[in-house]
Amino acid sequence: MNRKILFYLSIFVVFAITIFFVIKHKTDSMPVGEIDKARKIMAEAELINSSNYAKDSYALARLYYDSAMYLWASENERFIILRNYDIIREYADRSTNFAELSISQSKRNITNIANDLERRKTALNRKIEEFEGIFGKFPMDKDDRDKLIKCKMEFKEGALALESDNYANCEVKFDSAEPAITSLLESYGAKMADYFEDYPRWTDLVNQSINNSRRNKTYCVIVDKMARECYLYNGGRLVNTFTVELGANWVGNKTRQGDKSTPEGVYNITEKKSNGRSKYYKALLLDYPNEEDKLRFTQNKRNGLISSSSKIGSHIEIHGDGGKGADWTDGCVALENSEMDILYRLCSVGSTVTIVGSTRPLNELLAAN
Amino acid sequence: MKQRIFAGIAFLGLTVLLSTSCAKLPQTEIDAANVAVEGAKAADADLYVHDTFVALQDSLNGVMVDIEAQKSKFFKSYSTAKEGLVGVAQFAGEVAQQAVARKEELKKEIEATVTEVKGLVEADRQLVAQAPKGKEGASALLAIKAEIDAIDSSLVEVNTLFQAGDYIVSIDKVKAAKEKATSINAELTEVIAKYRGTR
Repeated sequence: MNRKILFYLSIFVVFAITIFFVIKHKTDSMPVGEIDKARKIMAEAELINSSNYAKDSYALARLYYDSAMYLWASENERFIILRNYDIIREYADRSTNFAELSISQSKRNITNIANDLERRKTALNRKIEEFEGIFGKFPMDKDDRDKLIKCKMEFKEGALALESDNYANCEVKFDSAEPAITSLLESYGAKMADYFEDYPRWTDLVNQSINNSRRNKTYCVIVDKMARECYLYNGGRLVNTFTVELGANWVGNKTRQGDKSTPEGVYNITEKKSNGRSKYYKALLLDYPNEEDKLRFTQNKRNGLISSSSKIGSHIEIHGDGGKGADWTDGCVALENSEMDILYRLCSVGSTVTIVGSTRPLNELLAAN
Repeated sequence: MKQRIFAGIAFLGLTVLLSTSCAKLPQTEIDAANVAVEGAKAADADLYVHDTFVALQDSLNGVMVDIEAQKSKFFKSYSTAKEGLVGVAQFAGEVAQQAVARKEELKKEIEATVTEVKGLVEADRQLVAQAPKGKEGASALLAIKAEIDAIDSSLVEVNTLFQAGDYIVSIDKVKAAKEKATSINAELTEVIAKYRGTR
């Protein structure tokens, strides 16, 4: 009887010990180490915004981690002896690998994005400076002026966003500003190229004026509209350079009265005004319109380019009260009073004044900017 | 006798089995911690105090791993996990407060800068009014007036972003507007001085 009890007791003890070791083995094999490792790497990935900068690898890391946790919870519902953690460990390892990949990709992408945005900022700033350098004094309509102002403000907002590492907002601002300034450069570049088709004629007029000055040993004045400069020659030699301001609509030739354009061509001084006879300190009245102006005006009317009631205009002068920093005249050429004094003193009635778009070729002007 | 021994062994086994199954999952604390973390997210903690929010989420994840680890054991104990969950809920409350405080800070900065810009724009418009009338003033001031109008439009956009709670974008916009308004002020002062100097 006692031997039977001992036998059954020993079977039970062996059974209990076996169960104990099986349970211990299952407990020891639970995937807590792998999952914890994956969790920590995922947190590192999230700190550097891998969900933005390495979307795909981060999404896979997240998927494997969530799947591992879900499967772990499912296995824990099963009877302990029947649990199998192999697939959970595998998913946790995959999550770790993808999270590590997302971290390295994010660091690389963040560096690349930051460098790319810095390059774009430099390029955009250069384009804006280029536009203002070349076309800053070009007459602009309201739409183009508003477009330029908006572009400059968006550039500034983008630059500030870049300073605070807000790359997404910086990109949005630069994406808006870049096409705006590019289209302005293209549009005004085309207008300028169109304008400079007259350059050969301007060059001829200037050379003729200087040659005449040399031959006759007289003064002549050359006005360079693009440069905003007025050159005084004596006997074919440059003796003075002055700064000028023009009509608000200075690009191109004058077509009619009130167009605020400064005419282009060869003129002569017909009168000198001072001592209160000029509204603008002192003035040298020019013989605009000349024969060429009258012919062009008639042709423009005939071709319907200007209305039939238009007048050709007159009273184009070189006068004082300049130095405003803007093109403000109705078509006249304005100098600062101290410079007007010099020009007024040296020029005579009959002196030649040649007004041209530019004395320098277009490629030289573009290269300078 | 044999029966008593077997009954005793069965009773012992049952007691062990029941005692290991009696550790209760702290579901109330889990739910409370999740709600608290969602509350921090609703306060935009992920945007305004990003690093702290990541640490909060990691704390919660760490506790959930601990809970599953306990569930995997034969002899379970959730006391440590329970304490962890209470800690997470408390931490989430602090993170939410930090996010709200950061947002308030940004809001105040934006409001102050908007007031400053409005003042600068008003000063600019007064300078424009002081500029000489007539064609000399008109041409020089045309571009400046357009820029002042652009600043006004920018402030309207800042207000829209502000009302929508997008403080991060609106702060950059208002700073750009302030810089522009300040440079216009200097430009106008120079233009007016030039006009006065040539009279």
